[in-house]
Amino acid sequence: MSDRPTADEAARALDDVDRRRSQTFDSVGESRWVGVVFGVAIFLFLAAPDFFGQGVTVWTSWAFTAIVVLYSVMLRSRRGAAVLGRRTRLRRQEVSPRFALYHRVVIAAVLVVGLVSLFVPHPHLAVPYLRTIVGALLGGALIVFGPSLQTGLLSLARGGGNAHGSR
Amino acid sequence: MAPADLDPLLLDPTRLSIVSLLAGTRWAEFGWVREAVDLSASALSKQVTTLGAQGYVEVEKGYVGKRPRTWLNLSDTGRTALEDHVRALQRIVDASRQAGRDHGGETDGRPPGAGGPPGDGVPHGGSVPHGGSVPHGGGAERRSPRGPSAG
Repeated sequence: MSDRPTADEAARALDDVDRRRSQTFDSVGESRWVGVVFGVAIFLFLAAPDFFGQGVTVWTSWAFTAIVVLYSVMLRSRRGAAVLGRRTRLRRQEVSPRFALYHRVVIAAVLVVGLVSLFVPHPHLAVPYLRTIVGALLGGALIVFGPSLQTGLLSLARGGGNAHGSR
Repeated sequence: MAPADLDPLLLDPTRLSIVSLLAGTRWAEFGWVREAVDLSASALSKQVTTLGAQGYVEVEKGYVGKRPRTWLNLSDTGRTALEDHVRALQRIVDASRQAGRDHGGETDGRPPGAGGPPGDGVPHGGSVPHGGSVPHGGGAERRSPRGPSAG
């Protein structure tokens, strides 16, 4: 490109800038083992009380929380992310604001439903090994469909940053 | 158009690609950038050195286990330079479009197509669609660039 690009060259350069920025989303992925670990952890967390009694939930809750916190901390550091198989870290500004809002709303809703279900007795739901079944379904779904789910979410998350890297 | 806004360093397509890739990230592994821009390690290293000398790209080296890793990130200076450069490029495109309209090439709201001014270089109706934007999601924003990012 010359010192003074033509309009055609400028348009091509702008197109390339957009394409490259979009490429960033394709890099957000993790190693397969991360999904497997989380799938197994969810299964164990939910199934443990069925086999070891309600008292075990104290330990499983702490263990599961520790895994989630460790994962979050690792994601925020370059070395930790590399261990998880992430090669880049997306800028928050790149994520669509609408997606970020929905994301928070869904997480809040899941937390609220989880908390309410903990404290509300439900004697009519006396299905044997219900937790184990739910754990197997959720954990299995995460292991099998985790990567495609992540791809789908990333496609929804696109569109935060504009073409110039400005906000 | 003020050509002074164009960053001479970013007029090189490879360097512009590298900086654009990094613009969407907080950091990226050297290996990922190398694969994305399809360069050899030495060629990318050379470009990164050039960008780093200008303060556009920061390099951090470390180990993950026993494997050496290099991470790159776009500095605030680099981000600002990219934004200014893209705005300047956009002005070139917009000026060309305006010139096309002034010459009567666009009367019905569509690009002039074959009727555009000779030599304006913009692929009317092709890769640069109506409205002066370039294909891809950021087109609308490009027509009215916003202020620099806080990073």
